[in-house]
Amino acid sequence: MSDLSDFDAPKKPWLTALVPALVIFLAAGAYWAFTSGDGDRNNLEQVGTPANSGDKLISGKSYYLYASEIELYPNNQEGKPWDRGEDGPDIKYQIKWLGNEIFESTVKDDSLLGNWSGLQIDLKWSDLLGKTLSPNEAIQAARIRYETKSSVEIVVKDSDLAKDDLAGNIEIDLKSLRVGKNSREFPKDSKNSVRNIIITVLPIDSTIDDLAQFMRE
Amino acid sequence: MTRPLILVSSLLLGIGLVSPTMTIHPKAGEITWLMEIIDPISMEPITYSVVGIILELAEMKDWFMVAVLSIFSVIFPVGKLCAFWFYSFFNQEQTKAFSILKMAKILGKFSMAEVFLLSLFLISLKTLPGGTQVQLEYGCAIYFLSVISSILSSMLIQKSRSGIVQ
Repeated sequence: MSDLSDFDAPKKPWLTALVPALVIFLAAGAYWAFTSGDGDRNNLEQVGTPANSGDKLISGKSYYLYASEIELYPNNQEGKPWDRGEDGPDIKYQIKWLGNEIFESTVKDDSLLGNWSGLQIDLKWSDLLGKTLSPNEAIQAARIRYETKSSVEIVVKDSDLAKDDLAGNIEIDLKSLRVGKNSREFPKDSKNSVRNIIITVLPIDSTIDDLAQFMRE
Repeated sequence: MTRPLILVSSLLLGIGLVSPTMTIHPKAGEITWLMEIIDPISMEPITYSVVGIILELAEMKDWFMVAVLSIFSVIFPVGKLCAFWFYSFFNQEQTKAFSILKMAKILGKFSMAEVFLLSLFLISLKTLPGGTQVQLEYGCAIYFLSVISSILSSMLIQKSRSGIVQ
Protein backbone atom coordinates (compact mmCIF):
# COMPACT_ATOMS: atom_id res chain seq x y z
CA MET A 1 0.00 0.00 0.00
CA SER A 2 2.86 2.32 0.58
CA ASP A 3 4.27 2.06 -2.94
CA LEU A 4 1.91 4.55 -4.54
CA SER A 5 2.94 6.46 -7.63
CA ASP A 6 2.82 10.25 -7.86
CA PHE A 7 -0.41 9.84 -9.82
CA ASP A 8 -2.06 8.33 -6.73
CA ALA A 9 -0.79 11.01 -4.45
CA PRO A 10 -3.40 13.48 -3.17
CA LYS A 11 -3.42 17.05 -4.53
CA LYS A 12 -2.70 18.57 -1.14
CA PRO A 13 -0.68 15.84 0.59
CA TRP A 14 0.23 18.03 3.56
CA LEU A 15 -3.43 17.95 4.58
CA THR A 16 -3.35 14.16 4.79
CA ALA A 17 -0.52 14.45 7.31
CA LEU A 18 -3.18 15.49 9.79
CA VAL A 19 -4.98 12.14 9.47
CA PRO A 20 -2.97 10.41 12.26
CA ALA A 21 -3.41 13.49 14.48
CA LEU A 22 -7.15 13.38 13.80
CA VAL A 23 -7.29 9.63 14.57
CA ILE A 24 -5.37 10.23 17.83
CA PHE A 25 -7.70 13.07 18.80
CA LEU A 26 -10.85 11.07 17.96
CA ALA A 27 -9.60 7.94 19.76
CA ALA A 28 -8.75 9.98 22.86
CA GLY A 29 -12.11 11.78 22.74
CA ALA A 30 -14.07 8.56 22.21
CA TYR A 31 -12.24 6.83 25.07
CA TRP A 32 -12.82 9.79 27.36
CA ALA A 33 -16.53 9.93 26.42
CA PHE A 34 -17.00 6.19 27.10
CA THR A 35 -15.18 6.16 30.41
CA SER A 36 -16.10 9.52 31.96
CA GLY A 37 -18.16 9.01 35.10
CA ASP A 38 -16.24 5.90 36.17
CA GLY A 39 -14.11 7.94 38.59
CA ASP A 40 -15.94 6.72 41.66
CA ARG A 41 -14.95 3.12 41.05
CA ASN A 42 -11.54 3.50 42.65
CA ASN A 43 -12.68 3.48 46.24
CA LEU A 44 -10.46 2.65 49.17
CA GLU A 45 -10.32 -0.98 50.10
CA GLN A 46 -12.63 -1.51 53.01
CA VAL A 47 -11.43 -3.66 55.87
CA GLY A 48 -13.99 -4.37 58.54
CA THR A 49 -17.71 -4.12 58.88
CA PRO A 50 -19.42 -1.10 57.42
CA ALA A 51 -21.53 0.79 59.97
CA ASN A 52 -24.04 3.57 59.66
CA SER A 53 -24.85 6.28 62.13
CA GLY A 54 -28.12 5.35 63.83
CA ASP A 55 -27.71 1.58 63.61
CA LYS A 56 -28.89 -0.39 66.64
CA LEU A 57 -26.23 -2.08 68.74
CA ILE A 58 -25.92 -5.80 68.13
CA SER A 59 -25.98 -8.17 71.08
CA GLY A 60 -22.61 -9.77 71.76
CA LYS A 61 -20.70 -7.31 69.60
CA SER A 62 -17.93 -5.08 70.98
CA TYR A 63 -18.00 -1.28 70.76
CA TYR A 64 -15.88 1.76 71.52
CA LEU A 65 -17.79 4.12 73.79
CA TYR A 66 -16.71 7.59 74.86
CA ALA A 67 -18.20 10.97 75.74
CA SER A 68 -17.42 13.29 72.86
CA GLU A 69 -18.94 16.27 74.65
CA ILE A 70 -19.95 17.08 78.22
CA GLU A 71 -21.56 20.34 79.25
CA LEU A 72 -21.92 21.32 82.91
CA TYR A 73 -24.29 23.75 84.55
CA PRO A 74 -22.63 26.98 85.75
CA ASN A 75 -22.96 25.87 89.39
CA ASN A 76 -21.97 22.69 91.14
CA GLN A 77 -24.26 20.28 92.99
CA GLU A 78 -24.35 22.58 96.02
CA GLY A 79 -25.38 25.49 93.84
CA LYS A 80 -22.00 27.22 94.25
CA PRO A 81 -19.67 28.37 91.44
CA TRP A 82 -17.06 25.83 90.32
CA ASP A 83 -13.57 26.15 91.80
CA ARG A 84 -14.84 28.81 94.24
CA GLY A 85 -15.61 31.12 91.31
CA GLU A 86 -11.95 31.58 90.40
CA ASP A 87 -11.91 29.37 87.30
CA GLY A 88 -14.22 27.07 85.42
CA PRO A 89 -14.34 23.38 86.29
CA ASP A 90 -11.61 21.02 85.09
CA ILE A 91 -13.81 18.39 83.51
CA LYS A 92 -12.95 14.72 83.32
CA TYR A 93 -15.06 11.59 83.23
CA GLN A 94 -14.79 7.91 84.02
CA ILE A 95 -16.71 5.06 82.46
CA LYS A 96 -17.77 2.15 84.62
CA TRP A 97 -19.08 -1.07 83.15
CA LEU A 98 -20.19 -4.13 85.14
CA GLY A 99 -18.99 -2.37 88.31
CA ASN A 100 -15.48 -1.75 87.05
CA GLU A 101 -13.86 1.48 85.99
CA ILE A 102 -12.74 0.74 82.45
CA PHE A 103 -11.83 4.19 81.16
CA GLU A 104 -10.78 7.61 82.41
CA SER A 105 -10.60 10.63 80.14
CA THR A 106 -8.05 13.41 80.04
CA VAL A 107 -8.87 16.64 81.92
CA LYS A 108 -10.29 19.65 80.07
CA ASP A 109 -9.18 22.64 82.11
CA ASP A 110 -11.36 25.61 83.03
CA SER A 111 -14.33 24.88 80.85
CA LEU A 112 -18.05 24.28 81.16
CA LEU A 113 -17.97 22.47 77.84
CA GLY A 114 -15.47 19.68 77.34
CA ASN A 115 -14.82 17.92 74.04
CA TRP A 116 -12.98 14.69 73.41
CA SER A 117 -12.20 13.48 69.89
CA GLY A 118 -11.75 9.86 70.86
CA LEU A 119 -8.32 9.93 69.28
CA GLN A 120 -5.15 10.78 71.13
CA ILE A 121 -1.51 10.01 70.59
CA ASP A 122 1.03 10.69 73.30
CA LEU A 123 4.39 11.03 71.63
CA LYS A 124 7.66 11.49 73.47
CA TRP A 125 10.97 12.61 71.99
CA SER A 126 12.27 9.09 72.36
CA ASP A 127 9.39 7.88 70.16
CA LEU A 128 11.00 9.64 67.21
CA LEU A 129 13.57 6.84 67.17
CA GLY A 130 10.84 4.44 66.23
CA LYS A 131 7.37 3.88 67.63
CA THR A 132 4.70 1.61 66.33
CA LEU A 133 1.18 2.92 66.57
CA SER A 134 -1.96 0.87 66.32
CA PRO A 135 -5.54 2.16 66.20
CA ASN A 136 -6.23 0.50 69.56
CA GLU A 137 -3.51 2.57 71.22
CA ALA A 138 -4.69 5.84 69.76
CA ILE A 139 -8.44 5.49 70.27
CA GLN A 140 -9.24 6.88 73.70
CA ALA A 141 -12.50 5.15 74.56
CA ALA A 142 -13.97 2.45 76.74
CA ARG A 143 -14.35 -0.95 75.15
CA ILE A 144 -17.61 -2.62 75.99
CA ARG A 145 -19.61 -5.59 74.76
CA TYR A 146 -23.28 -4.93 74.17
CA GLU A 147 -25.81 -7.01 76.04
CA THR A 148 -29.47 -5.99 76.09
CA LYS A 149 -29.79 -5.64 79.85
CA SER A 150 -26.44 -4.03 80.59
CA SER A 151 -25.66 -0.38 81.24
CA VAL A 152 -22.67 1.89 81.68
CA GLU A 153 -22.09 4.51 84.32
CA ILE A 154 -20.48 7.79 83.40
CA VAL A 155 -18.99 9.59 86.36
CA VAL A 156 -18.30 13.25 85.57
CA LYS A 157 -15.96 15.13 87.89
CA ASP A 158 -14.34 18.49 88.41
CA SER A 159 -10.70 17.50 88.75
CA ASP A 160 -8.93 19.13 91.68
CA LEU A 161 -5.50 18.70 93.21
CA ALA A 162 -6.88 17.80 96.61
CA LYS A 163 -10.15 16.02 95.93
CA ASP A 164 -12.22 15.66 92.77
CA ASP A 165 -15.73 17.12 93.01
CA LEU A 166 -18.51 15.01 91.61
CA ALA A 167 -20.52 16.76 88.90
CA GLY A 168 -22.84 13.92 88.07
CA ASN A 169 -23.21 10.20 88.04
CA ILE A 170 -25.11 9.16 84.95
CA GLU A 171 -26.31 5.68 84.21
CA ILE A 172 -26.94 4.95 80.53
CA ASP A 173 -28.91 1.93 79.43
CA LEU A 174 -26.98 0.44 76.52
CA LYS A 175 -30.27 -0.51 74.88
CA SER A 176 -31.02 3.20 74.38
CA LEU A 177 -27.79 3.84 72.47
CA ARG A 178 -27.24 3.82 68.69
CA VAL A 179 -24.07 3.70 66.62
CA GLY A 180 -22.75 7.24 66.27
CA LYS A 181 -23.54 10.19 68.51
CA ASN A 182 -26.17 9.95 71.25
CA SER A 183 -27.15 13.17 72.97
CA ARG A 184 -28.73 13.19 76.46
CA GLU A 185 -29.87 16.19 78.52
CA PHE A 186 -30.31 16.19 82.27
CA PRO A 187 -32.04 18.58 84.70
CA LYS A 188 -30.08 20.36 87.39
CA ASP A 189 -30.63 19.03 90.90
CA SER A 190 -28.75 18.49 94.12
CA LYS A 191 -27.09 15.35 92.72
CA ASN A 192 -26.45 16.47 89.15
CA SER A 193 -24.64 19.36 87.49
CA VAL A 194 -24.30 17.78 84.05
CA ARG A 195 -26.47 19.65 81.53
CA ASN A 196 -25.72 17.65 78.41
CA ILE A 197 -23.64 14.69 77.38
CA ILE A 198 -22.95 13.32 73.92
CA ILE A 199 -21.93 9.68 73.91
CA THR A 200 -20.28 8.30 70.79
CA VAL A 201 -20.52 4.59 70.09
CA LEU A 202 -18.45 2.94 67.34
CA PRO A 203 -18.22 -0.73 66.45
CA ILE A 204 -14.70 -1.94 67.27
CA ASP A 205 -14.41 -3.57 63.86
CA SER A 206 -15.40 -0.34 62.06
CA THR A 207 -13.70 0.47 58.83
CA ILE A 208 -11.09 3.21 58.98
CA ASP A 209 -13.42 5.30 56.81
CA ASP A 210 -16.28 4.95 59.31
CA LEU A 211 -14.07 5.76 62.28
CA ALA A 212 -12.77 8.83 60.47
CA GLN A 213 -16.31 9.88 59.56
CA PHE A 214 -17.70 9.46 63.09
CA MET A 215 -14.78 11.31 64.66
CA ARG A 216 -15.07 14.20 62.21
CA GLU A 217 -18.82 14.62 62.76
CA MET B 1 0.66 -2.44 5.19
CA THR B 2 2.44 0.70 6.41
CA ARG B 3 -0.55 3.03 6.50
CA PRO B 4 -2.92 0.70 8.38
CA LEU B 5 -0.11 0.18 10.89
CA ILE B 6 0.29 3.94 11.27
CA LEU B 7 -3.47 4.22 11.82
CA VAL B 8 -3.38 1.46 14.43
CA SER B 9 -0.46 3.17 16.15
CA SER B 10 -2.38 6.48 16.10
CA LEU B 11 -5.48 4.84 17.53
CA LEU B 12 -3.47 3.20 20.31
CA LEU B 13 -1.58 6.42 21.01
CA GLY B 14 -4.85 8.35 21.32
CA ILE B 15 -6.27 5.84 23.81
CA GLY B 16 -2.91 5.41 25.56
CA LEU B 17 -2.62 9.13 26.24
CA VAL B 18 -5.95 9.40 28.09
CA SER B 19 -6.40 5.93 29.61
CA PRO B 20 -5.08 5.16 33.13
CA THR B 21 -1.31 4.75 32.99
CA MET B 22 -0.44 4.33 36.64
CA THR B 23 -2.04 4.32 40.07
CA ILE B 24 -0.21 5.65 43.10
CA HIS B 25 -1.18 3.99 46.40
CA PRO B 26 0.05 6.42 49.09
CA LYS B 27 1.26 4.90 52.35
CA ALA B 28 2.76 6.49 55.44
CA GLY B 29 4.46 3.46 56.95
CA GLU B 30 3.32 2.59 60.47
CA ILE B 31 0.94 5.55 60.69
CA THR B 32 -0.92 4.87 57.42
CA TRP B 33 -4.17 4.18 59.32
CA LEU B 34 -3.75 7.45 61.25
CA MET B 35 -3.17 9.45 58.07
CA GLU B 36 -6.29 7.84 56.62
CA ILE B 37 -8.23 9.32 59.56
CA ILE B 38 -6.57 12.73 59.67
CA ASP B 39 -6.23 13.36 55.95
CA PRO B 40 -8.20 10.72 54.05
CA ILE B 41 -8.16 12.62 50.76
CA SER B 42 -4.37 12.65 50.50
CA MET B 43 -4.29 8.90 51.24
CA GLU B 44 -6.65 7.88 48.46
CA PRO B 45 -5.11 6.03 45.51
CA ILE B 46 -4.69 8.36 42.54
CA THR B 47 -4.80 7.16 38.95
CA TYR B 48 -3.06 9.19 36.28
CA SER B 49 -3.05 9.12 32.51
CA VAL B 50 -0.23 10.73 30.50
CA VAL B 51 -2.51 13.71 29.77
CA GLY B 52 -3.63 13.65 33.43
CA ILE B 53 -0.02 13.92 34.63
CA ILE B 54 0.53 16.91 32.32
CA LEU B 55 -2.67 18.59 33.57
CA GLU B 56 -1.68 17.91 37.20
CA LEU B 57 1.73 19.51 36.58
CA ALA B 58 -0.01 22.46 34.93
CA GLU B 59 -2.17 22.90 38.06
CA MET B 60 1.04 22.91 40.09
CA LYS B 61 2.37 25.55 37.66
CA ASP B 62 5.42 23.42 36.88
CA TRP B 63 5.55 24.78 33.35
CA PHE B 64 9.00 23.39 32.56
CA MET B 65 7.86 19.81 33.19
CA VAL B 66 4.59 20.50 31.37
CA ALA B 67 6.57 21.63 28.32
CA VAL B 68 9.03 18.72 28.50
CA LEU B 69 6.34 16.05 28.88
CA SER B 70 4.01 17.62 26.31
CA ILE B 71 6.72 17.98 23.67
CA PHE B 72 8.48 14.66 24.13
CA SER B 73 5.58 12.38 25.07
CA VAL B 74 2.74 13.86 23.02
CA ILE B 75 3.77 16.30 20.28
CA PHE B 76 6.82 14.43 18.97
CA PRO B 77 5.16 10.96 18.88
CA VAL B 78 2.12 12.51 17.14
CA GLY B 79 4.38 14.46 14.77
CA LYS B 80 6.38 11.33 13.96
CA LEU B 81 3.22 9.43 12.98
CA CYS B 82 2.04 12.39 10.88
CA ALA B 83 5.41 12.48 9.12
CA PHE B 84 5.26 8.70 8.44
CA TRP B 85 1.75 9.07 7.05
CA PHE B 86 2.75 12.04 4.89
CA TYR B 87 5.78 10.15 3.61
CA SER B 88 3.66 7.16 2.62
CA PHE B 89 1.99 9.25 -0.14
CA PHE B 90 5.22 10.04 -1.94
CA ASN B 91 7.27 8.14 -4.40
CA GLN B 92 10.24 7.24 -2.26
CA GLU B 93 12.71 8.30 -4.95
CA GLN B 94 11.66 11.92 -4.67
CA THR B 95 13.95 14.24 -2.75
CA LYS B 96 10.97 15.63 -0.83
CA ALA B 97 10.29 12.13 0.45
CA PHE B 98 13.87 12.02 1.74
CA SER B 99 13.45 15.18 3.75
CA ILE B 100 10.14 13.99 5.25
CA LEU B 101 11.66 10.68 6.27
CA LYS B 102 14.63 12.53 7.72
CA MET B 103 12.26 14.75 9.72
CA ALA B 104 10.36 11.69 10.93
CA LYS B 105 13.63 10.12 12.07
CA ILE B 106 14.60 13.28 13.96
CA LEU B 107 11.18 13.41 15.60
CA GLY B 108 11.54 9.73 16.46
CA LYS B 109 14.90 10.34 18.11
CA PHE B 110 13.50 13.17 20.20
CA SER B 111 10.33 11.30 21.06
CA MET B 112 10.58 10.24 24.67
CA ALA B 113 7.81 7.67 24.50
CA GLU B 114 10.12 4.68 25.00
CA VAL B 115 12.07 6.40 27.78
CA PHE B 116 8.81 7.43 29.42
CA LEU B 117 7.61 3.81 29.44
CA LEU B 118 10.92 2.56 30.80
CA SER B 119 10.86 5.12 33.59
CA LEU B 120 7.31 4.06 34.47
CA PHE B 121 8.42 0.43 34.73
CA LEU B 122 11.36 1.41 36.93
CA ILE B 123 9.17 3.52 39.23
CA SER B 124 6.72 0.63 39.58
CA LEU B 125 9.53 -1.70 40.63
CA LYS B 126 10.99 0.70 43.17
CA THR B 127 9.61 0.90 46.70
CA LEU B 128 8.85 4.51 47.53
CA PRO B 129 9.05 6.07 51.03
CA GLY B 130 6.44 4.88 53.53
CA GLY B 131 5.66 1.87 51.36
CA THR B 132 3.93 3.96 48.68
CA GLN B 133 3.39 1.84 45.61
CA VAL B 134 3.04 2.67 41.94
CA GLN B 135 0.90 0.23 40.00
CA LEU B 136 0.96 0.28 36.21
CA GLU B 137 -2.44 0.32 34.54
CA TYR B 138 -3.65 -0.93 31.17
CA GLY B 139 -3.06 2.50 29.60
CA CYS B 140 0.65 1.80 29.92
CA ALA B 141 0.25 -1.40 27.85
CA ILE B 142 -1.76 0.48 25.20
CA TYR B 143 0.90 3.19 25.05
CA PHE B 144 3.55 0.45 24.80
CA LEU B 145 1.69 -1.19 21.87
CA SER B 146 1.48 2.20 20.18
CA VAL B 147 5.25 2.62 20.51
CA ILE B 148 5.82 -0.90 19.11
CA SER B 149 3.53 -0.36 16.12
CA SER B 150 5.19 3.00 15.50
CA ILE B 151 8.62 1.32 15.46
CA LEU B 152 7.27 -1.36 13.09
CA SER B 153 5.91 1.36 10.79
CA SER B 154 9.33 3.00 10.77
CA MET B 155 10.98 -0.35 9.97
CA LEU B 156 8.54 -1.05 7.11
CA ILE B 157 9.20 2.38 5.63
CA GLN B 158 12.97 1.88 5.83
CA LYS B 159 12.62 -1.60 4.33
CA SER B 160 10.63 -0.31 1.34
CA ARG B 161 13.13 2.52 0.93
CA SER B 162 16.15 0.19 0.92
CA GLY B 163 14.34 -2.08 -1.58
CA ILE B 164 13.96 0.84 -3.96
CA VAL B 165 17.58 1.95 -3.54
CA GLN B 166 18.80 -1.56 -4.40
